[in-house]
Amino acid sequence: MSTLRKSLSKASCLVAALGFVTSASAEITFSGFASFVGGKFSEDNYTYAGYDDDVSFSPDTVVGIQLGSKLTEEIKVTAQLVAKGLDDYDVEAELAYLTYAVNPFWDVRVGRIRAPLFYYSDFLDVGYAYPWIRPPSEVYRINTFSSFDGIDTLYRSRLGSWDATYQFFYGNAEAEQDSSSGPLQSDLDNFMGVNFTFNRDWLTLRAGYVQSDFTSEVSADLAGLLSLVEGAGFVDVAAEFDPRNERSVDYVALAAIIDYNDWLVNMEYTTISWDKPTYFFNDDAWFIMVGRRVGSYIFHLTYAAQEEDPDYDKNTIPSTGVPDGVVALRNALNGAIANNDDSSITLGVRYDMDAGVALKAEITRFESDIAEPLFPGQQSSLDDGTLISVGLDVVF
Amino acid sequence: MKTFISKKVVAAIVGLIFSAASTAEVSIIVNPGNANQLSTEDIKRIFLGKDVLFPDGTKAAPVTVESGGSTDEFNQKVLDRNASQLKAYWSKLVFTGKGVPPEALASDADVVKAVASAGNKIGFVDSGSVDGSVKVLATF
Repeated sequence: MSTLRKSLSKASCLVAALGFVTSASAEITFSGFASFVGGKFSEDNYTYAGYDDDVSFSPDTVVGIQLGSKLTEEIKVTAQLVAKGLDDYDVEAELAYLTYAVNPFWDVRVGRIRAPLFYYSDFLDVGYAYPWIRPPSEVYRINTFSSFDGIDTLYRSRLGSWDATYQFFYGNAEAEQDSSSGPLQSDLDNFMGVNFTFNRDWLTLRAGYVQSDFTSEVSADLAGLLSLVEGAGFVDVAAEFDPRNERSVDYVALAAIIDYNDWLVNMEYTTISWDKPTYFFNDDAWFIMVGRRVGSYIFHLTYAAQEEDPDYDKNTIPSTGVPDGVVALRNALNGAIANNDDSSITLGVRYDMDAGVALKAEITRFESDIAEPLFPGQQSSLDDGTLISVGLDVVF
Repeated sequence: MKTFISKKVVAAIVGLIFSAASTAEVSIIVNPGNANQLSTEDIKRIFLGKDVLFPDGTKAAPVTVESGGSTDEFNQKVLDRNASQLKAYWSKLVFTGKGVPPEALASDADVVKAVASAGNKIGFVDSGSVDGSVKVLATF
């Protein structure tokens, strides 16, 4: 027994000595997260959350490592390198910033920072931190960019029995989207916003606002259509609908997260609006999840919905008293505008196998409808579908 | 001096009784030079990173034990969370750069040593591991 004690204390001396050595040479902290997810959707003519009717392991699989180094009491450097199946496991720096702690309650960060559009946007890659395999796709619909380059400030304070966090940020971001004529780049300039989070015991409330200028390349098809519209004499309409001309986008998000006596209720409402016509994400989207923690399990049920508000009224090409060709242009432009009214119901379970390891399984029923019929009886071109996915989330 | 010794003896006896009953009692310990009084809520807030300062304004440096009886006991009784919930809580903060979990040491003995040698450290150990080099703020 005493020999064991001696060797233990020797070992702890060694550990302490090692700790001293590493801290003397600016200690680097290392942490990481990973999700390994397989899924299969029922339909073959479109994808849902990245899945089609072949079993796929890439849409939600992600591995990330985070490195941090405290240079002084006030200055810290953080980098997060993430490899996603979605991007063919190309390693991307999702975070790369320097933190300056003005005081214990106030941080200023400069570099690459997660774009905090909605509640889960900040930690969307860290599956272990939430109950689902992925937050509802109808709300977390923006997967073309996740970080911005710029500056932010985080301020924490207490308001009575509430803990408040305020974040202000400014910068710019780039997004890339696939199209029939190859990847299209979008630029988000003057990307700025504010969010407030209030937490008290079992209740967390968050309100966020983001504004950005937006310009985007267009596919060959859309460029062709816009030049036909322009050529037909509707120069203003073509200019308004051309995303190569800068426009402004607003994102508003309101969330409530409840964890009370092993009952979980998470809900979020988001809306995206534009000052000029857009082809996508001119919409409202929201979800509500009710969950119950039973021992090491969480059972949850989620309803999510996304509804476009298509900008048909801004298409001022006449529909009557003009040649058929002009009407065809009008209809083609309307046809390019997203017009979906989607919803999904997800039933899932999370099993915490061990601290830092969670196994999850989910089934999602997806339904697509038309937001605003362009002609009587217009139906969605998408059949209803079912996605089944199983995944393992770890943090280390 | 007398009171000090008797307190120690009482703590040891209490520790023995509790370990005999196989319910580890957890002691929250600080440096003897730390004069702050902390409520259970204050302790909880410090270990969840919600408070970064002691009431007197000095920076609090919480330390935990990697895993084991006193950790589970402390997580349940003071933090009101199991190990998985706590891990999820910290994951959200760590990977968004909004918080850093307390330093985790290998054993109770390391926690006692760390707290005894630094004025701003606060830790928890099995009450049986407490010695005269640290001050017990509360027991659970």
